[in-house]
Amino acid sequence: MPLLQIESLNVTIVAPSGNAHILRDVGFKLERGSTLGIVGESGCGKTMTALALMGLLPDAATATGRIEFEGTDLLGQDEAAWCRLRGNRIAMIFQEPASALNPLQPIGRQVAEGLTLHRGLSRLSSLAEAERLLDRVGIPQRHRRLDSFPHELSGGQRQRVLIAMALACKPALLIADEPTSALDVTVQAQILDLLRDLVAELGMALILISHDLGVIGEVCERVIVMYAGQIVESASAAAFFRGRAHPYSQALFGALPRARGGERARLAAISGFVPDPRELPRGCAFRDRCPIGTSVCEAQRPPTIAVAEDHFALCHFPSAP
Amino acid sequence: MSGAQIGKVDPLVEVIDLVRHYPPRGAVFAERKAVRAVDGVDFRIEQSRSFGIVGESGCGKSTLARLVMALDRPTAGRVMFMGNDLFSLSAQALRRLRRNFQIVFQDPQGSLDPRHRAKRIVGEPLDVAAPGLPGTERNDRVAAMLAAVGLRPDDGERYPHEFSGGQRQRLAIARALITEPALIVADEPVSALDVSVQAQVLNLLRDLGDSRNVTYLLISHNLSAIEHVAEDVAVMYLGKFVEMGPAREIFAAPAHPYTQALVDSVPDPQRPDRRRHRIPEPAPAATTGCSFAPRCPRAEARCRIDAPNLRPIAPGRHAACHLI
Repeated sequence: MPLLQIESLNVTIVAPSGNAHILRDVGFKLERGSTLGIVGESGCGKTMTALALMGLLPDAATATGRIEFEGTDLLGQDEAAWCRLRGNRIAMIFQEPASALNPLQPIGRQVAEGLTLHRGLSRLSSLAEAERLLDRVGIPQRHRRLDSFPHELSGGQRQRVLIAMALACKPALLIADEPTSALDVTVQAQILDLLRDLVAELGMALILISHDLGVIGEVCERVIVMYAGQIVESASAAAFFRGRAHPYSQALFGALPRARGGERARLAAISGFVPDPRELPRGCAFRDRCPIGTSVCEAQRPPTIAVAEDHFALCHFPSAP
Repeated sequence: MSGAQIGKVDPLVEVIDLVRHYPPRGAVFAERKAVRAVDGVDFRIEQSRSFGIVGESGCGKSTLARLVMALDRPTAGRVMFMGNDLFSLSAQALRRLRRNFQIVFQDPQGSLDPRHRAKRIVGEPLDVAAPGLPGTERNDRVAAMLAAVGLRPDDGERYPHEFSGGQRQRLAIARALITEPALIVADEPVSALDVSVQAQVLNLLRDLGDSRNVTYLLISHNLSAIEHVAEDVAVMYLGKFVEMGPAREIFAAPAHPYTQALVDSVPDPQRPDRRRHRIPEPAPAATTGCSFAPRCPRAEARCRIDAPNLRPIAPGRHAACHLI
């Protein structure tokens, strides 16, 4: 049984201006200890997928489908059950470590909180465990480290503290939503190394959300590309980085400038915009921006086509990888 | 010097031993030293050779951009723009000269007045640069400018919030270009944008650079963006340049250990498996010696004693390191 299995997850936000279809028929599975990257532009549904997994969707949102985690369907479970799960079996780290930490509380207590809450550890033993966790994530040992406040740490160190908090209860699944986008490249490289090492060491599964294909490629075994609330391509990272099947994935790849000292080609910009989730087109959502879109794409929803073993694209005319 | 001279002057910009220190904040921290945001920087920007400055947060690159724009005054040193010393010009002469150098900021949301229509935002610099311009001609220039950055003529009637992030950055570029400047300082112009939109804006900057004879001073932490727009690049670390030269050569074969670490840290989706070299997290500069020594994987004893100067290491290339 996979650790996580999502089936036809649909999330709709009901508003007077029209129903916004935020997630459409999203489905994937994740084995224990495996790593999955979700990539796409802002507004494509990456973060909403993560929030659905954490039971943190906005009040106006309704979700249908199945999110089966460790054998239980999470959708429709009550808040008490979510509270037992969050920070315990599923943990999440966010993009902006400064705003995810409580500025008025020393970091030791913030790391220890989950341990007293979920594990019932005493204050002292939870602080001792916090000390060990801070060591593991590479916060330099110093006098009264547990008493430091978030503002005394650099951005990279704050992200390490968040990772320590997330790891405290040894979750089976860690969700990292743009964990390095606010960091400098040299620090980003270290945080990615840390995440990769921790996954290998603790056997937890990781969902890494990023708009940066490079970041995904560094850490993940499998890649999902999202567009307008749908999964438009899914493949092993190795296959994906060899060749993309969906025109949107190809466009994302072509838009990356590369500092490699090579010939300076024009970047393949993607023209147009992501469609409004309240007014999605009848056929393919990428039709208006697609270099190969036809009248078929306009009229009919694209099917999910297997272009190779375990490599899928939501497209009428996917490229052979 | 009172009046500003404008003409074909080489180089376009010359920055000479520029220093900007900020006094320590508050008497409580009296033992703290001044923040040396820009600590002795020299470079030239030649006409039609865009110049990029790359570095991580806190290295002083935005302070340097503000100094080149004469939005801040240096502690010491000079900025020569088309042969004029910006900080010895009269306020009036400086204002007249300003039409020749404009700035584009990172966050187009925060740098466009939300209460003004796009056409007014784009046309506003003309109030100072060309006060006597007849209304119809002014409207024509605004319309032409909107077209040049890829916006529709009727977009001029819209307000900033009606545009997407990439379109707002196009507006900011149109506003910067309307006075036909020779230099545009762009401080992280694409960092707030999605990858696909970044590509559009970077392409636009390059196209306009060619067609309108604009030279850029591009400030970014994103090496790839710099390489896409700039011919020359300087790598900045804690207020100083550690490497400078043609962008392609530097990114293909970085000489300074810090540049190597930067280039190495950029994830490359085409080579995801490669194991990179790592440097420790940012550390405060040592009081003596090379400021990068505390993080440098190759630092030797002398690096902690003598501060290296930027010196020629190959034709057109400079680096500040004892080990090269």
